[in-house]
Amino acid sequence: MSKFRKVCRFLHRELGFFAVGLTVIYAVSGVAVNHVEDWNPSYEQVRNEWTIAAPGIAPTETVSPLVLEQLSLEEPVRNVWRATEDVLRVITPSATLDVNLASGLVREERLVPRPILRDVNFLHLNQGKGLWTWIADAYAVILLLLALSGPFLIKGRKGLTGRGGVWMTLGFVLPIVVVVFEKYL
Amino acid sequence: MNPELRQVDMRSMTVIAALLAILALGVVTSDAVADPDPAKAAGGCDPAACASTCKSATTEAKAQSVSADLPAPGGDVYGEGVAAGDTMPISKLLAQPEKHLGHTVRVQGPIVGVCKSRGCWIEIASDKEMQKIQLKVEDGEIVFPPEIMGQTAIVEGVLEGIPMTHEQACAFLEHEAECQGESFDRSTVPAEGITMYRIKGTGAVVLASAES
Repeated sequence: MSKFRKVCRFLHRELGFFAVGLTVIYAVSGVAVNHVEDWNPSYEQVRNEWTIAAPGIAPTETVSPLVLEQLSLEEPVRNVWRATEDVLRVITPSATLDVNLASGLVREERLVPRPILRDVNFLHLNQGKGLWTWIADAYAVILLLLALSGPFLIKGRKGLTGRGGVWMTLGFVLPIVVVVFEKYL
Repeated sequence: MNPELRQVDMRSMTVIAALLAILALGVVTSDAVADPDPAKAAGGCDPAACASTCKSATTEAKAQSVSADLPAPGGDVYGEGVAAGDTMPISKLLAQPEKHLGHTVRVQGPIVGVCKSRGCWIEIASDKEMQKIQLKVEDGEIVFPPEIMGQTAIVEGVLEGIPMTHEQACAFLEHEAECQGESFDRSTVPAEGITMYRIKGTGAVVLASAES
């Protein structure tokens, strides 16, 4: 076995083990955020509706205490905003309530973080910046090393000069075809 | 072990050690940058870490002005943050928006809406009732979490006006309402169409809420 191949094998094996956890995070989150048009990958939207005695259309200073008294919220109120003539929006740390002043209908919406998914998306989208930026950069370098060392692990008909080469060519051709068709044709 | 194999292993170990050293250096540098500024540590723009999206020198200057400008205990910085200086009342901005088109503006107010799917915009309530303005940011460049609803934000960006016909406005607002899981009434859109004014955001500072 040539020295070069031995180095490739060593690098691929050691870095491969290290990359398992990070790859799972990026793969799971990748699928989740890929379908952001169809669902919220980080939060589950929980909606409730109920009715209170209609406070009527009046100045915000007048209706606001009446609404808050009837809602009797367990959480502190962050803000109260008159969204429209007949809608008062009450915002708490975990919910938004739109109260129809004319009908008394209360529409509550809570965004409940999805366990695990919210955290892996947080990492994948690098929302924390700082430290994770460096880890993600290092991971990218590791992926590159895995990709570059992979083709040289074995030789023969399953290697680069055989079936492996065909798979590798397909891996290059696929994105090129998609870009050409989606962007230029 | 075969001496030749041992030699290869040593070389490989050296390469891996070098990689880990680079990673460790990154961690140390990152900590050194993040530590002095709690606003950055809480999720703000780290000039050392986001060189691709931030103009480092400008950002650093801005980040300093932000921390100097903010009332204690500071806030979470998004994107490039905001420069020091007074904010313009939203009612004043929207009274004559044409005057400010294409100019950098800075406004302040409670956050009354957050994009639920991508976190790519927030709505800031005006000092005038039933009035708000949207701060739109590049998808993925800045992500606003829904937890900031109701908190006060200082936002900065360029005011833009998007003229829309009745049909375009209905389609746009309908889509936005659908994304937010809200209902939309087409009759609220004037027949002659609308010009939607919004701030193309470069940064924001969200102040800590009173109850947290």
